[in-house]
Amino acid sequence: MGESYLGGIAIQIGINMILALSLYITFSTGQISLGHAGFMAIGGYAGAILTVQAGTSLTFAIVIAALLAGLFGLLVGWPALRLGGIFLAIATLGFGIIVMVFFQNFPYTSGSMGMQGMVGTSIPLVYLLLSAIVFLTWQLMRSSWGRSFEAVREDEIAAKTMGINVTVVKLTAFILGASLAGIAGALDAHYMYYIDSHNYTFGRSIEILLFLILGGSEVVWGPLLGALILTALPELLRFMADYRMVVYGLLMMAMMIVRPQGIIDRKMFHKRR
Amino acid sequence: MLTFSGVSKYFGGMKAVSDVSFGIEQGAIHALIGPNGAGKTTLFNLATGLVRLSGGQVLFGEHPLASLEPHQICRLGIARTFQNIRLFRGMTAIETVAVGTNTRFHYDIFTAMLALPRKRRNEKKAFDKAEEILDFVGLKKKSNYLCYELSYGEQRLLEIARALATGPKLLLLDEPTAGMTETETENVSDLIKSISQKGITVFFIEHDMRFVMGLSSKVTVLNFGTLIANGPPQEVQNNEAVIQAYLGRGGALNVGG
Amino acid sequence: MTILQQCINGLMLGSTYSLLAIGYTLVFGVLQMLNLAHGEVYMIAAFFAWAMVTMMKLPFFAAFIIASLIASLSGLLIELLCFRLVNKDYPLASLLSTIGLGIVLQNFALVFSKGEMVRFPSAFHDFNINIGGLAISGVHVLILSIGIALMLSLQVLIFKTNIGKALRAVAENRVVAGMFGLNVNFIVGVTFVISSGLAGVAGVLTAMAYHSITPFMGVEMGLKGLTVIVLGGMGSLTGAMIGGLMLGLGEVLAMGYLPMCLIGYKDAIAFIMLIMVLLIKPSGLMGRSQEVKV
Repeated sequence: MGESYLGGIAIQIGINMILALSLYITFSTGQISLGHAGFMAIGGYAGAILTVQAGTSLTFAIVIAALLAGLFGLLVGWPALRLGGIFLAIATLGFGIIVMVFFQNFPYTSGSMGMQGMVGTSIPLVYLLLSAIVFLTWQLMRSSWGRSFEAVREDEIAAKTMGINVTVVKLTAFILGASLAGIAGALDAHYMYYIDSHNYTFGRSIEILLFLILGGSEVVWGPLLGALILTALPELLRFMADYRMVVYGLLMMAMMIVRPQGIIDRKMFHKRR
Repeated sequence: MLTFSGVSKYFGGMKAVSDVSFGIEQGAIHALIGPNGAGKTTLFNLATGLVRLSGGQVLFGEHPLASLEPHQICRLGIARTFQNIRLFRGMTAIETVAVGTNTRFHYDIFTAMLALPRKRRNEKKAFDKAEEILDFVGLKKKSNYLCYELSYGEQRLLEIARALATGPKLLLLDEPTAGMTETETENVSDLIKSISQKGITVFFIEHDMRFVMGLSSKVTVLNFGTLIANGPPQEVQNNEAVIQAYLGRGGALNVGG
Repeated sequence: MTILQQCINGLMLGSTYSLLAIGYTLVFGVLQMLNLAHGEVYMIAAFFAWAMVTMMKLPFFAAFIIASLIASLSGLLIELLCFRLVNKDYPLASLLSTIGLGIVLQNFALVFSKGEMVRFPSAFHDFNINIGGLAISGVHVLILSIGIALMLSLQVLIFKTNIGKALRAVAENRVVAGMFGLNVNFIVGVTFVISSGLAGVAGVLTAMAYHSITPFMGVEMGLKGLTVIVLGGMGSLTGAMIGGLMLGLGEVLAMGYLPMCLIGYKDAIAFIMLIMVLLIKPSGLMGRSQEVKV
């Protein structure tokens, strides 16, 4: 605690970058998740219960948050394999809302009263984790796994017949994405000091999606840029706070017309032969 | 090498393939022809696990393919191309072919993320192989072109390269010369011969009769989902039922040779 | 309240769900895409009606008609901004665009109402019809009747008129329909006009029935409508109609008979059902499953 104003923003940027990457990994296999805040919630509450009620260290809490969120990633991702495109979007949307409603009512986590007392997130911690995650994700995408992810996204049928186990690929991406969201959730909870279900609404899931839509959904740097812009900008445009969501909505619509792949796309990195 | 035994496939009430039985010998260049809608692509889909059998068996050597997933079939040694080109849109040519090598130069996800030495070794092997294959099909100069920057004919070649990258024993080509120019078609013909010389069995669907007759060692003819002829090209060419099937549809079988 | 009373309430609630669901399913049937701003159209229509009644002092009937018309026209706007202009190469671009539009509309309403519930004045003196000891609110019956009348008219339109036939053709196969000379863009426009018009009607009717509107009613309704069409089968009109009525009934009865501790989870129940349907039979009760062609 006692973070400076800029320090707080730096932490939020860091956490949002992790969130953006978490969605990016899942999305890179073509699976759209409109309920990512749900995984974040699981990580957040799990971490909170561990540090506040069980008195464990934040590090331990983060690890457990990641594992638990990852487990749910498996539970959601497994049946989701059968769904494609729009059906998956709806299912994940439903999942996110179910999680939110659950925490709104679950007495153990004080329902709508929320949980409080979480501390420990600091700039070094966030950025240490972020750096590690960026490195791992970047390496992942520049590997045979990354190419498999892309192949599955572009053409699942062709990917299958080229020997790619689509089930494993999609599940892996889902679980990884969920775990990362869980980590971000734990970090976020221990920065916010207080959380309740309103922290994890459908709007939150859309905000995360917007990081990808604006910044870019094709390469690792896109989500990072999106998170940076969309976290820093509202602070700069404080006077427009009421209309922030209007701007977000218009941004989404505009990007879909003009440049759906986001600001940073793959072509930027394509070497001229 | 590949045996179809009483194979049938029904989509709802519609019969796509009915009681088809024939075999593909190792080392053959085997053609599958027939009027449109005869069930040829369905046969390919059955052999690669994209579609489930309604009846009968497909055997690859001794392995029945019925319960296998497409990626497992690929690992057994069957690779294919598609009638409507299915490339990976944003990738370069060499990346696309490298995807084909995934099963051969595999490394686990932790190795990938942590950039362990094994990754670098296998990446090099994968891309070297990809380059080798691109050279083999004649696309080496365009390795770093994005897929959609290639011409239609080149894209078809790229699909073949990708399939070859999986190291198949049997290569299934679905209309490899569709939409190609005269020269490009010649090119593919030579390519198939080269592939065969490397010991890979080739099974392909085609409409271009001159191409088929000049290249294949055996021809199978389907019409309305049933097999109407199976044998060496000359024999099939003179088969009554085959001529009827094509003439009846206004098609031409005469290749003057 | 007797169970029969509750059933009437449930059906009335359900008919508004149906009107909304029909709009969803129409667009999905014709474009294979969801318009997630649909709920917001419902909400905006209610607000427009409120403004006309309270600020412009228009009679309710006029407000109802005009608000519904505004809703229909907004459908054209949605079609243009979120479907026609959108980059078609990108998967689900339209879906995301409609989410964006929904957010814009909701937040305008939020700022306008300052987050508070807005009271919609009574349309008529509440009169009750008494049948065999039951007291049924006249307003509710009116709404149920309008809802059913519209649904029946739509059935007639879709299945007995030429334009309905054209709509079904485009829904079946857009490219081929175009080849047969149908003006696909026009048909798509008509689809949106009808779809959004119905949403608008539902919005005004709900406002009149429950006397209160909030900027959040769109999201709630939108998500419920989604549940309905997934249940009933995306693209199926009958499914939307029956599904809506069923959900309305189900909710009212659940409210009446669920144990206290579970009440809060009521909203989650709809979504759990939605997910279960998606897993078991994504095409819903009435839809057809689709095989991917290679």
